Amino acid sequence: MEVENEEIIRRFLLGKMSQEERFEFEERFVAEADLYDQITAVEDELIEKYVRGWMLPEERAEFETVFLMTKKRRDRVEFARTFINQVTGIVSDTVEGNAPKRAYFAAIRHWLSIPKVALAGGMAILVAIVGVWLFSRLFAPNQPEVAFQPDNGAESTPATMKPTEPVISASPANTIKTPEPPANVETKQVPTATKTPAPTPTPAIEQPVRNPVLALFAGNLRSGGSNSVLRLSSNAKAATFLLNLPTTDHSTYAAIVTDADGNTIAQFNKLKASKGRVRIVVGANQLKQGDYMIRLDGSNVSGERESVADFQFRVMQ
Amino acid sequence: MDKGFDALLETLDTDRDRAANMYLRLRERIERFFEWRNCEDAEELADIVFDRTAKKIADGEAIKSVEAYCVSVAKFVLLEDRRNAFRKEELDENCSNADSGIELNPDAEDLAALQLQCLDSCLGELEMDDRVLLVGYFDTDQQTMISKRKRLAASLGITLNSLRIRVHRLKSKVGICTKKCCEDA
Repeated sequence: MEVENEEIIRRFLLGKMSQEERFEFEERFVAEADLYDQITAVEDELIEKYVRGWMLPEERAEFETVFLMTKKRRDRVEFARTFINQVTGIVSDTVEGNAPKRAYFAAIRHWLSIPKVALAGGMAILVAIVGVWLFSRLFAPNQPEVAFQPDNGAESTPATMKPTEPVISASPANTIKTPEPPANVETKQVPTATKTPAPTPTPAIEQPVRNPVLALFAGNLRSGGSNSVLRLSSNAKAATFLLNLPTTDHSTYAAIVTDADGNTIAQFNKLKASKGRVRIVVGANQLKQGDYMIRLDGSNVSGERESVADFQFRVMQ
Repeated sequence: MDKGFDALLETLDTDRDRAANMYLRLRERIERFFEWRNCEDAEELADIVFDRTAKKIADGEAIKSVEAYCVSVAKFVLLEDRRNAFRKEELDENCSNADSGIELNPDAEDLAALQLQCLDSCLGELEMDDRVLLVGYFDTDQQTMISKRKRLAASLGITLNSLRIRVHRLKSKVGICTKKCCEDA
């Protein structure tokens, strides 16, 4: 495959070609799938540079003026921002070179935990994560957790928690020496809800957005009498709840989040369980300080809806 | 199935499956042709291109290269679209209630949360190798991006260009899955 000069592709993408040159180039990429693939790859890289703040101010201005003209492309850029942040856990507006390593590892740990993985693959990844964790521990110690683990977590750790689930934020060392029960809270960094085009930055360090993740178990209150607590920082955009299922007999689930007064805050339908739990994401703007309940229903084999479990949590800001 | 569309597939390849695959890939390129020309409704314009091409083929026109023919039609459709947009702008100038262009979406945060949830789920459906590849690809900073990606490509026995394309396809796959998930929710 002949590799097209990247500069030519950039000129095309940024509208710098003459009409004639552009028509010729368009004829080529419609006819040549390989060239089209190259253009999309270069476009991806341009978008990546933009969302990660790697463009010079004039490049950025040009990109915003020329490239972000259509809604579809703005959506593409927004998706890329979310995608890259989700994969790396690195917040887009973090100053170059200062990407928070702790968040990155947390993100990998979280992300690699989602799927249906073969046992062998899972073990290999676990070994890699432990290695990475030890490395990060050596070079980036004492990084603060964002989400909050309530008191008396030890006594209340549910028996249903699978030991291999990397949601657990207990350290590998602890897991080996003193098998402390896992905390039910993990942190992850997810993208800011910054709309494209993002504001032209001055290179100042911004507080990364920390969107907490809270694992909940049926059975409501923890043994110490306190609710599971979700600490919501002021700049959080969303909170993820991992609803651990007492049974996995249902094809789909529906969740309703209500506040202490019984008002519905959010509702989710057609949820699928993965690894014995259902995941929902609630916008931070809907969560004020106070107590909440999540009612989870499931559809049984006959398609009838039945109650599966209730989960309680408290939001602290 | 529409006779014209059938004929279009037949012209692309006599093997039905291969033809369908070729059509989808060609359609994607035509849509991007319009998108890169700043057309908001690229999908609808691509529909017009394929409708016209299919009709020509059904009418017995001998087309050597469907790709070349489609891009020629696309140019005409683009010009027509530009003319229509120009006329619409003229009309809008006389209409005080014309669309202000401001995107109002009171549920933006909810949508963002849903998209995040779907994205998470779709990433989880990727094969482990693909996930590791994505993490390796994006785990970089501006200074080391090229060198790290070259090393990653070399470790996979492919060129940097092929690596980028592979990542693009994975991203597209996750994007399609996320979109579908959001629509189904």
